[in-house]
Amino acid sequence: MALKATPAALALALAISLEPLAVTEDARIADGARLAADPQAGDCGICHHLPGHDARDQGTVGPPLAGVGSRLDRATLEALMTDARALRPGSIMPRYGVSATAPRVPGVLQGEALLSPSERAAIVAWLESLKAPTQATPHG
Amino acid sequence: MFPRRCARAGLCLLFLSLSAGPALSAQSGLAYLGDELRALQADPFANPGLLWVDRGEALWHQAPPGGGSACASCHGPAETLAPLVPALPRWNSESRRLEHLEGLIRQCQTDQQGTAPAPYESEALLALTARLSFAARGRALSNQVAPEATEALARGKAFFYQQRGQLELSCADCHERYAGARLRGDRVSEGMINGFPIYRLTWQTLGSRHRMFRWCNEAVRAEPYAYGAEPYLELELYLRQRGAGLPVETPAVRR
Ligand code: HEC
Ligand code: HEC
Ligand code: HEC
Repeated sequence: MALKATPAALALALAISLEPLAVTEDARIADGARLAADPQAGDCGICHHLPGHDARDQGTVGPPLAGVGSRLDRATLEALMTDARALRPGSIMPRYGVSATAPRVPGVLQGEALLSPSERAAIVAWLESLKAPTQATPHG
Repeated sequence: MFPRRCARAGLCLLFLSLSAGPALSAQSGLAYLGDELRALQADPFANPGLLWVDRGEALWHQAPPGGGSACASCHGPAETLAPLVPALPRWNSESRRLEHLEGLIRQCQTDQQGTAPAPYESEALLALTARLSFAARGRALSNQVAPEATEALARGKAFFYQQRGQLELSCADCHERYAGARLRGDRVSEGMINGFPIYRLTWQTLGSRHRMFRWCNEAVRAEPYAYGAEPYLELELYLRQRGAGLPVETPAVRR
């Protein structure tokens, strides 16, 4: 597609996309929240307390995720969601974006990452949205 | 064995409060239960696992169809086999293989009773396993490993520390490093085998050690092994040695 990006065309594109973009971002965050909690998808609640869920059914292996969007920047969250063990050597947090190299992975799951790129992007958007209540503006 | 996460003060306290008794010694899963389940396990009427112990006692005295003898007619009371239980799995120097309680029972059914062996996880096998383990209640898991079984023991230990499955987690990741933490609603114990077969609320029934291994394998999306498979016998041997000194508490109640 070699469309010529005239200022007018850009302005038009922005006008069309801005409103839907905001909606999409909210939808993506909601999607991320759902995927993180879903035992068939992220299943993050097995190890973490996910905000909004009853603490009694949530894990304490990793830190609670409330406020994590204020503690960690987007790049770090993306890296964590791709290969947590590369970022934090020795961690037991599973590697969601790469296929497992450990033995006994069932045939149907071999070569598969735990989460797809779009699922990981949704979860990152959700994590980023989890701001600490006392700190309205993130500092990266 | 001291969890690294003791760096986090709260969990350190949790850990310390759990390890009453000699520091860093093995703890039964009982120590990680809430009060309610602890009381249920201790209750001689309400413990649901005792149902299988009763069935096992009946089976022990019952002659199999086809004219064979009852277990009791050769062995006497179930209590006569009590000393055997905490020393299993053990090395059989004739077959040059490890054998565990389920395997010995099935072998006797075939060789001595002339019947088909009860399938793994069948009510009959669970009942007989529960009855014999119950007879050993209070006896300490043995530390003894035959010299010929040294390699099998080493393989069992390697299994325990090997990360596996799509989640790439080892038994030790959960049952050693994060013992005491919660995985979703469950307090993670040290993965001890002194309560088996256990009545597990998750299963709503009694289950064997190998059923538990399969469950824990599947929890990390790893291909489980068959009941009675060599790698599980080796793992079971290592876990018996790892938990040496813990009293048999069959039938344990677990979440
Ligand atoms: C098997 C347990 C486990 C699972 C499952 C797990 N994590 Fe983690 N996670 C951890 C641990 C442990 C840490 C702490 C890092 C370390 O090990 O040093 C962590 C750290 C994190 C952090 C950094 C938190 C901080 O404050 O530094 C984020 C964000 C995170 N996990 C998100 C997730 C998400 C999202 C999922 C699900 C897709 C998930 N985790 C699944 C164990 C887990
Ligand atoms: C993802 C974490 C995890 C991994 C990895 C794991 N388990 Fe477990 N295991 C559990 C949970 C949760 C339970 C139920 C709560 C409890 O009793 O600890 C359990 C229970 C057990 C029990 C029953 C303990 C009792 O007191 O009755 C045994 C035995 C056990 N696991 C052995 C193993 C072995 C062997 C492995 C490796 C093949 C393994 N587990 C891997 C989470 C795990
Ligand atoms: C006809 C007699 C007979 C019957 C019936 C019988 N057994 Fe046995 N059992 C034996 C003998 C003999 C051995 C020793 C076998 C050997 O060492 O090769 C044995 C060994 C065992 C052992 C291992 C004991 C040890 O100390 O090594 C167990 C466990 C066992 N039997 C359980 C059972 C059960 C359960 C039943 C009933 C389902 C049963 N047996 C029925 C004769 C019998």
